[in-house]
Amino acid sequence: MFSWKTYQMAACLLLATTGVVSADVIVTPTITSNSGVYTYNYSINNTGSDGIFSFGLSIFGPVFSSSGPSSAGWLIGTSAPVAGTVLVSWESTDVSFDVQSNGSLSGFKITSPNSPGPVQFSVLDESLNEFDGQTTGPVAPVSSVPEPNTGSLTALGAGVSAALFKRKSGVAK
Amino acid sequence: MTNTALLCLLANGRSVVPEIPRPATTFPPPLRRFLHWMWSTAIPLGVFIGNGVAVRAQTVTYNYNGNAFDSSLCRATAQLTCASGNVSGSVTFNSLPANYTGLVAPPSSYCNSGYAAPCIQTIYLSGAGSTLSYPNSQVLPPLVYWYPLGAQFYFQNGVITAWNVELHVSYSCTGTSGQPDFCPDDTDIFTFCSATSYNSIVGPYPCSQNTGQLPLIGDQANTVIGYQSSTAHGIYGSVNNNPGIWTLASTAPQSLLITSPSDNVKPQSQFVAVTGMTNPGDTVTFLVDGTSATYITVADQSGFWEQVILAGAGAHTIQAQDGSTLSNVLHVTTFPPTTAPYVQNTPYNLLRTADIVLTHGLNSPQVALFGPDYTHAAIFIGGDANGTPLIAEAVKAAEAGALGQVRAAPLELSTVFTDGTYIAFFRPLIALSTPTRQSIAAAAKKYTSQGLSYWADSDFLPFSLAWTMWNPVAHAPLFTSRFNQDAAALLAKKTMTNRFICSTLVWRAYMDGTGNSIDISMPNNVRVLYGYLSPLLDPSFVSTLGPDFVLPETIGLNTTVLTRIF
Repeated sequence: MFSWKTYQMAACLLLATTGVVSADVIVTPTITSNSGVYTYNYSINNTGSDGIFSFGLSIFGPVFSSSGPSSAGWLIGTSAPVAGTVLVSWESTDVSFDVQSNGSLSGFKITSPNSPGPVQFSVLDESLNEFDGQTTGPVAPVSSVPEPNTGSLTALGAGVSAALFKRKSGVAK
Repeated sequence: MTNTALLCLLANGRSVVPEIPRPATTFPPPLRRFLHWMWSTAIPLGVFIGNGVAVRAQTVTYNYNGNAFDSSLCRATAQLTCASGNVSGSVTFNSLPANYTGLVAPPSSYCNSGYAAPCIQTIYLSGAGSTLSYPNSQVLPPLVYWYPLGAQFYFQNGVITAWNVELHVSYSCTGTSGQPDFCPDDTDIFTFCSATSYNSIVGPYPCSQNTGQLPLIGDQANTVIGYQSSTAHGIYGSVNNNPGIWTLASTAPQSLLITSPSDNVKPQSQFVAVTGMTNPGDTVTFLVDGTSATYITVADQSGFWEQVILAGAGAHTIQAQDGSTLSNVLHVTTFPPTTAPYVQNTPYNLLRTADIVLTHGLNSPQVALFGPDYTHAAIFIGGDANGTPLIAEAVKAAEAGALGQVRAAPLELSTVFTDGTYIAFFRPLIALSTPTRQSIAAAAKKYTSQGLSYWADSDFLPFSLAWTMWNPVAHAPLFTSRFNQDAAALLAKKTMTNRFICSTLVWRAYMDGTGNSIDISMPNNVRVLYGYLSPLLDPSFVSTLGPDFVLPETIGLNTTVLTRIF
């Protein structure tokens, strides 16, 4: 007899694991689905010469939750600078936690009700070089895009709240 | 509409993009020297004149009497034949101060280009069966860096001491920087090399190998005098090391002129942006269709004036009036867009070049976020060649349409006109000289002519990162070094020139146009009054990041540098 957890595991579907290279950065998503909730787990492989201290995703549509790498020292923030878009960002709190040159880090995770599609990512290294590219992430169906004047603002407010909550968690650590 | 403003929000970081260099010139060495004078001497001098004591300007005419060609110095080829003869002609300057010292040179040398005085009102030269005249000869619009007719005159105490007249055929093309640039297929008709000319693309070459279809004259130092027949396809001319001289023919009181736009233009607006010349400090009024209009403007200390006139749709005449003196008659036929203003009766006639326009955008999400008075920023950059008033602004892709995102939009097609529920005009507290205002507008034109984009979503990342690194309870960064890095990334976004939000475009134009002397982003007094962010956003966070971002509200609250004129 399958336990519930086993059932969940069985229901998980590996949808995509293709890495996307942008200059000195490779971003690889691992996507699973369970009961209509998609989990996107990103891995960053730094092939450049400077450490990477931030990773951001521009997502079209709502995000249920987000979490950081398993290693300590990364904070999470969300905002909605553009109507309909949620900007999820991760930032390390110190150079020692950065994705070191020729190193990699995984666990940049978000969950969403939306299925995979193209999303933009942005990475900053310690010299403030920016690496932008496209990876796979949650994309809301066009019909469910919130109206600019309501949904996005709500998202921003919620996003900032989430950032505050996460910040407190980070501080506690 | 209107998220323009939204993204005049806050943002994120990347390395600063290098400055786009001043457009390369195709001009050969002698003319390059003149252009060097222009940048190093004429413009500063123009500023000096603009700010100094008014000097009575005049309309001055010089005649040119050339010596006979020295055919022995002509470099004939199989295609090119030397001819004998000489050149004569005249040039009339307008708004030329008495005892003027400095250069009259492109882009300010032609009165109808809309630039400040002094300027060349007419020039006529004839020789070897051909003529060269302005304004009849083609001169490219001011927005283009190239002039088929190039004429530079350097004055020392009111006397012409160096001069250069040339023709060159240029084509508008785009260089690697995305702006008008040197084109290998440009055909320059050089006029000032005795034996060998030099071109940055092809290197040294004999003067006589130039090709083209227009007549050419020469300069004061090393002169080729001759012309090229459009039918014979050969240069008939000779080298003359003994050029003629310019002799003062007449002086007269400053003429009252409408210098821009040229006659019989078709503005894509119900408004017409008009510029002209008269005596410095004089008050100019206007007749529209023969009837006195309510517009009044005052000429600056060089005699330059400008006015935006509401003409309405259809055919109209516009005339300037200075006392009892009437200017030339400007005939226009306007074709306004069908867009409707959100706010009626906005006094756009008050706008002067480089004025800042701030609006409260229709349904702007910024309002619900932090309660700003202003959600969009733009800059008035004068009229185009047709007299259509242009607004330089950066808007999001969804609002851009065919005009693009970082664009110079006809007034009625700008979001200022269509989306502004509340409109205000600002200009610096310290009055700017006309050349400085034109320099600011030129900077805005430079950026809006490159097809640039509005900020990408990721450009807002540094603000989000900085907020993540802020402790609102302690009113201080959680991790100072990382926060400082986020602030640096945010500053890099503010200063980058390959993408803009509305307020960074206006700020950048002022920085570039004033040599970084007018920073409208400081002090940054942005406040979070109400809205979703008000209970969350720590005021000390905003003030700490103040130098690193600029919003429309930043500009609107900057009473240290700016004053509101409407």
